Amino acid sequence: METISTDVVIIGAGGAGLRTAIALAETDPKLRIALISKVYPMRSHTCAAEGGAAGVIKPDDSFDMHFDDTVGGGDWLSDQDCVEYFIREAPKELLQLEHWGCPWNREADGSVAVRPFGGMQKKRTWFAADKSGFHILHTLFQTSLQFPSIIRYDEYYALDLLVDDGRCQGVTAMEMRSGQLRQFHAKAVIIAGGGAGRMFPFSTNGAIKTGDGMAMAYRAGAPLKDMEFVQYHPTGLPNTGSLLTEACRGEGGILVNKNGRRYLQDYGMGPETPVGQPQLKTMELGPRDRVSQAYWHELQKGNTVTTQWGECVMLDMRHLGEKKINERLPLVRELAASYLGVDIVKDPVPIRPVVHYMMGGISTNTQAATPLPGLFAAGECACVSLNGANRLGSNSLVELLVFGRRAALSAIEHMQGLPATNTAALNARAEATQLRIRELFSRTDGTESMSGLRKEMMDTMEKNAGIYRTEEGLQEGVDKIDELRERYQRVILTDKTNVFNTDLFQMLELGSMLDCATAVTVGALARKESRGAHQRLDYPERDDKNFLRHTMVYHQGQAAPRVDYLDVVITKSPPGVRDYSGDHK
Amino acid sequence: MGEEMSRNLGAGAAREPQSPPRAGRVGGAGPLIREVPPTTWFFRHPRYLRYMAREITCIFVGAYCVLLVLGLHSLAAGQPSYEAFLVALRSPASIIFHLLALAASFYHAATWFNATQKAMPIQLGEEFVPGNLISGAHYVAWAALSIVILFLAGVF
Amino acid sequence: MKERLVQMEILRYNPDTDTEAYFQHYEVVCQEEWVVLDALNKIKETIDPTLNYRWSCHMAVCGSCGMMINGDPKLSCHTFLRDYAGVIRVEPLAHFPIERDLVTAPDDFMEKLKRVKPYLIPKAPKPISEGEYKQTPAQLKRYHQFTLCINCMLCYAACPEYGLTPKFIGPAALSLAHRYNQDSRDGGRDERQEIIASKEGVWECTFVGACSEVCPAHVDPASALQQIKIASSIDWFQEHLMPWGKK
Repeated sequence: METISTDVVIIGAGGAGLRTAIALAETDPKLRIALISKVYPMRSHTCAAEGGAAGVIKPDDSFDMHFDDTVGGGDWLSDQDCVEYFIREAPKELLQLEHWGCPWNREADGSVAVRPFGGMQKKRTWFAADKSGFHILHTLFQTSLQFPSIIRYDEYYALDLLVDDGRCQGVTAMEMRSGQLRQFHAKAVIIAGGGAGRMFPFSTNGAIKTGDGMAMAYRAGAPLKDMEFVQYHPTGLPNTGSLLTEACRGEGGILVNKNGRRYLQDYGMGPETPVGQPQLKTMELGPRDRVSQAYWHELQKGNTVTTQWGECVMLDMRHLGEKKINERLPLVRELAASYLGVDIVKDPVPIRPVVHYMMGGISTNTQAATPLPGLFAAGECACVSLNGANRLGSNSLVELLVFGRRAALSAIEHMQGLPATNTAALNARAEATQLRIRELFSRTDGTESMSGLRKEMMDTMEKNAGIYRTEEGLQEGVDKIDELRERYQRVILTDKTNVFNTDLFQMLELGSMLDCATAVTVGALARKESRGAHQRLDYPERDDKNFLRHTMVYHQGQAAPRVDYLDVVITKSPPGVRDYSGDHK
Repeated sequence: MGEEMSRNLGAGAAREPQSPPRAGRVGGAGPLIREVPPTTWFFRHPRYLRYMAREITCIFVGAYCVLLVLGLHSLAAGQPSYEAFLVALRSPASIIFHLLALAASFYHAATWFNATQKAMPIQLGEEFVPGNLISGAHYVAWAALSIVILFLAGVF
Repeated sequence: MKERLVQMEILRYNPDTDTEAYFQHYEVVCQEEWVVLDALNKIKETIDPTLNYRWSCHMAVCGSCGMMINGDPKLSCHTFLRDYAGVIRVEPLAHFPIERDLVTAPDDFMEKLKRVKPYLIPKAPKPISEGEYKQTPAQLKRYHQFTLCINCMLCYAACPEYGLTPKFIGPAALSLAHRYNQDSRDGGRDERQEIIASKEGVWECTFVGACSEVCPAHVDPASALQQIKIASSIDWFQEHLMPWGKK
């Protein structure tokens, strides 16, 4: 097996991975940086983020307000030292992107424009029409091209971390176009592998978001934190699950049920605001968890609209007018027109909540370091505890910048004065990976079909770990995922050739998703309270006495994982009431 | 334009494989390169045929220029020569050629006028001037020039 | 929902086992509102797990799933079955080497993209602490459409120049160079000029216009290339006819 010796390995070349790579290259041009990704950087799912990125820039805004919105939005499960660091770094990072050429929308005077977003008390979301993530990704990718020390390994599928002497010192990866294994030896490894939304059947996430980075760290001994918090975005297309950005509501779109009622007022987000005059932090600008949960209640009451794609509510943007829609929401108009045949200028569009984002992930501290020395993580795959129990829209694009850069700085610190590498030990670890892959090819007793198993996993997650959960359902979910993990050992690999074998990669991705699904269901079963995106019908209240803590799930091989807890860091905001009732407090 | 076209027709360079060589592959055939047929590629899609039509019509424009030069030459050679040239112009073959050349010139000019909006976008304030205004202006200038020439030629 | 039996002919090639590419016929029951990618996914899940192609976002923004569909370069996630009758013929993107089945090698495009320096080279560098570069909505609009390129490479598959003359830098890369040249914050045009105005650059383009016709992101690369030609011609005249007029 070929060995590639380098200084730092980054796994994942989306927004977080690219930001990390650039920060490394700028800080120390002599560093050798290996940027590994299973897709070309432009294909990373950062490109699908639409609405924008939050950072305090306007004179009427303040760090304190961004802090309060984020901590309250996260239902007090955010680590407040982390939030403090984040809000202060956010505007610097967004300005840095501006200096790299990001085409942010502008005010008439040439300054950067901001738009309102859910759960934010001020307009502070920087945006590039409704393609903000796309522009951030391409700006970062194109900027990265000027640094010769960033060596990209595009279409390399990362397999296992190389851990020796209690430190992470590299990774094995397969070159997809040849099927050859390579091992990367490095002083530090940074995972920026994105989320795992594809474990659910109905998701805004692209096909690549299968939790490989999370699962890799988990298998290597790093804990997954707060995985039970899965964000449903309230407005997805009912057939494809494509995202219709929160900016639809930020710009003034309204949600109505089959009776034409703006039902959010019935779920603590009222009173009703005038149509076309959205008010911050109330009604349609409530936080995503609350808005998605309101849909569930409407569904129970029979107030949803029955469409050929299932039960929906309607997102009405007609009053915004064609000019504003074309300027601010062109992608939304295009998506609704082509995939649903609805012109949002003329008709309301049916929507329903859709799995969007994992608040949980690889446990990291404010320095983006995991408990495993030498291993760092940033972006959606990490849980730095910025987002708590519910992420506010437009915080994640900034998170990947702030903590992407932070991971780079921490990795450089870590690299100082390390003991020598035991190459033989790393080689032995890499060979274990090779054996694991070889076993998949040589397996003759395969009886399980991969797509069948994947469908069972998705159905289980939707049925038992959805917007509202119960003890009974979650126990069933834990048992079922456990059974699927066992059956996964008998999956058939149909394609046994070497070049671009997507049958193999889908099989490996299924393994990653099953690991993530375990952490989600086990964590959710253990958390006997309702907080943010984790809602239990049998425990409807938040329980700060027992659960103002992070869930930590540790891998234990084929056995059931170990669940532990970590206290939330509270600096200045004691748990309080989340109030989204506008001016009528 | 005609020159560029013939250059392209002659150029059918084979593409080198762009992937690095891979040791250890079982079959070892490597990436497959499908050649573009250098002389028939434009039959693959109507948009290529439209492009070829635009390019080929320029031959008539060129041929008409040659005809004008021949006319000048016969004029310089004296009255009998010029008279013979004028008689030749009235022949059925000449009339057919003129009609064809006129049609081809119209087509050629129109395709380029329509393309001007891409080559010369004009931004006034925030908005771009609509493309068909830019193309339209070319048609207007064309018509105006034609009228002036016809006027100078004594048609009116 | 309405269903329909869709017939597809898909180009297959596996360098491990094949010396030639060949078409394989599939029949698959699809919903009428599906896109071609949905049909491919159903084939892979239920009929043939060995079929290979790239895809991710299913919303025409990641640029992974470009392929030739009935001879036209298209994003398969944005090509609707309702627009096709009869057998749908699916091939890998033209003009790129085929890695396997519908997967092509984009190395050449990636190399060319890097060569045109598609990043901001600031006219007047300033520290972050001094805030943003001011840019009016009009200045933004001047280059905005060229920022929308998703690097899907459909334009390279449509461009006969690129097919015949592989050294041509091509529509997407040149348009991205133009995007930065047109940005009010940028001062890097001179650096890019020697690459984009070279013979391998815009002068290889004969303005077929196919790039703009097939672009799924509504970018107009043909326009960018002609604009570069005009600007380069003006440069030339200034340099040769008015030597006092330039710098």
